Amino acid sequence: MAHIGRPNLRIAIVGGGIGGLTLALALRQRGIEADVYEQAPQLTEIGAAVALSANATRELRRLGVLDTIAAASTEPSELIHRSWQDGRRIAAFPVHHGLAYQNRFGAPYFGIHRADLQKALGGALAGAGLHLGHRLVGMSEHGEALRLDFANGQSVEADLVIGADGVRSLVRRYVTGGEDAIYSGTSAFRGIVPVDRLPSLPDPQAIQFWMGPDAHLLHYAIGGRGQDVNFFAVVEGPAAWPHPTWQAPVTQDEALAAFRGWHPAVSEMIGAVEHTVRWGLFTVRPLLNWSRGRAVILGDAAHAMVPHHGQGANTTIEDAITLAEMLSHGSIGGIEQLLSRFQGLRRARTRKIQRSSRVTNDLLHLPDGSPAIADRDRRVSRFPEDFGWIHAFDALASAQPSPTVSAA
Amino acid sequence: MQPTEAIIDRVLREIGRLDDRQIAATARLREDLGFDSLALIDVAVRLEDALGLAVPDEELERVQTAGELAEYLKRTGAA
Repeated sequence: MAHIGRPNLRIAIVGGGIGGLTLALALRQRGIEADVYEQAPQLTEIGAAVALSANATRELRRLGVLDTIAAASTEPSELIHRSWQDGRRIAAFPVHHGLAYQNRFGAPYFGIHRADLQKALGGALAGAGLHLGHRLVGMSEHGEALRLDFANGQSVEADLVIGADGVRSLVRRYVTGGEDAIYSGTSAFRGIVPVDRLPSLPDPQAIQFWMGPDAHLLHYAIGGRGQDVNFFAVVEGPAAWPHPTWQAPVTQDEALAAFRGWHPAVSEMIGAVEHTVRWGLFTVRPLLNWSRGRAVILGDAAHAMVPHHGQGANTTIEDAITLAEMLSHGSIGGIEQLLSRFQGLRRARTRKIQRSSRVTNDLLHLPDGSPAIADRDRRVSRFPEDFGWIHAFDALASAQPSPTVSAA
Repeated sequence: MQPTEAIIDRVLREIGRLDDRQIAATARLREDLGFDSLALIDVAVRLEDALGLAVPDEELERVQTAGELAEYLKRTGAA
């Protein structure tokens, strides 16, 4: 059998998104080569922006890419929760102000365009082992190895396959025998607006949740100078999602109607973008097993979550660092046992964040007059106390083979 | 104690740090034993690993006592 760390262990990473690139980079930093197979002909992240919290930025700093990322990022001035109609500040905490967040969690909080993050990761990788235009269509056992078949007609064999291929992961189907993504019953409108087109917006450099009946709007600034505002506006419904992808056509009127009557800053932001699609929000049921033989999944493929804690990308980066670090320690007991220990380190933590994100949806979507409003206001006022465990986490430390493994 | 009850007893003691306490089947997980929703996920994941059975979030939110947890696990195939 091939041994980790030996040049003949063939590692194939399926998916060149944030998880796959972070993993490849972390492996290379540890002297382990890997091949990344990405279906797209170029590295072009779809979607808009992503918020990176300390549990990810401390790892990106260790990978040596945080300065590049910082140059394209904005750290929010504050975290603010507001009421949908009158814009009342319900709770606020400093983030960049006084460097409060970094001082508390040891690393910054950044808003960044996904394309800029991918560029930073891909740039550091400098094309090493990256195979574009490779869409996985089949996986099969081939002796001790796994064979990957791609739509372009090529096939490769690998001793370890890591599926970082997202919420509609093909590797997950191989691992679980067909576990599907689940529509959450909520969908989103999203966009990026130059900040100077948002004159009604109070605190444009903050990360803000506007909470209202059956909907909320989240926004934060991105770009090296905070010049753009990325927003993500979530609504209840539609009840079913019959569409083949996570995008469905929508008219501008539908998008505007969903936030009619909201504070002018909200309607101004929604109206500043030409909406042609809405995004269905999908999750994956917590899985008993993340691996089958020598195939394992991570990131959205393993634990896709609704984005209300902004932790999809961050937990994916944690997964990648954890797995890379474990692989660098060698395969005591073999790869399959290593993969079992990997999910043992990751399953509880990611499930907690999945659940917490789901519960947060309801908290953000209360109608006026709901008896739960007082509890909501109390909860958002306890944000650092209640959610510090997400941000303070140190994935690299958790992956050390010592008896003092930190708990999730 | 039945095997499933013994495993539940051990997991609850470890996650809840209840070393010196007696865990009755009627003990309420939240009110009597002090588990919050996050600690209950630790319990669920440990039970899943020990028994190879899924303990979904909705079951975790439904069960009130250690005994109900045992009943659920036995219904889904635990010894």
